[in-house]
Amino acid sequence: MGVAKRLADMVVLVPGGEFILTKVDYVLNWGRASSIWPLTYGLACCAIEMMATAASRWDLDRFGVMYRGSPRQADLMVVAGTVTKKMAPVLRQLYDQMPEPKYVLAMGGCACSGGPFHDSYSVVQGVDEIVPVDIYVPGCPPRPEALIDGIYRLQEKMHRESLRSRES
Amino acid sequence: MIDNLKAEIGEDIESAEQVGRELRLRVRPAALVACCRFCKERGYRYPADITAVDTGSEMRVVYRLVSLESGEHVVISVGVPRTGGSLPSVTGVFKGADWPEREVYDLFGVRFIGHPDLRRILLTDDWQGFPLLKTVPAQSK
Repeated sequence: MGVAKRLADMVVLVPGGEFILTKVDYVLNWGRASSIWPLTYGLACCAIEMMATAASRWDLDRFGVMYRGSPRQADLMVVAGTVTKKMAPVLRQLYDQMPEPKYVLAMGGCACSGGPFHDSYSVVQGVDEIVPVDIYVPGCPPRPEALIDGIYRLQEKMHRESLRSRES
Repeated sequence: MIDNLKAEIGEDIESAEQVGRELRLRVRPAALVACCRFCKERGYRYPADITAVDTGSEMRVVYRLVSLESGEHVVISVGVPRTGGSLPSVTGVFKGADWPEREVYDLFGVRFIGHPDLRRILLTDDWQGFPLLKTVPAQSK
């Protein structure tokens, strides 16, 4: 229902013809949001929930989300866990290796703000100190439903983008 | 075993007591390596942990050796000054002591003489000071 309704908004059938008219923005965003390939970036216990989300019980694959082991093939970096100061330059390098357009999802309290390691001598106080973050998913760790919700929110954000005004 | 140890190493053993299946030794730094070698020859081949405790008056470096055959432990505790302390490295006896000694150096500042590669292991290389000393405030802001 949802898809058909949206299609009616975005697609114009040419009467009697085999063509449809639509917007480039819509098609690009639809393709982008329907095949998010995240970089596997599990750093701590959040990674266990992230793996569970990708496995059969929650099955992220049904949203076109398939984890990649290489930044070169990834659109999204799911930072799942505690980022230590020693890990920070590595994380930045992996982010720089990802091709545009790229997104970052901070999963869990540690990646959002340092979490239980607030004011620690060795932990980065939120991954947004190193890379721009699109979606924050709080929790310690967040349940798989919360991560799926974060990916929904990212898809919504992708649908709001335009070729003329991509903030990056 | 306590008698043999005292006979071999002498008065550098400050105290020795058997608590359950654990032998607790307090030794002077000069006897540390000999003590570790003595234990290794008697089956305590697994250095399960090397850590340190800042008691406020001195730093005690603690070695826990395990015999995988009998399941018994030997805990060796050595006192060094709180700042600028150093100990002989036991990497010559236990190769696996390499990283635990680096960790103790990284977090407590105890230097290990004779260690093959004494760099920081957990913190960044430009870190100043040693965070697990009691002189470091728990809150920085």
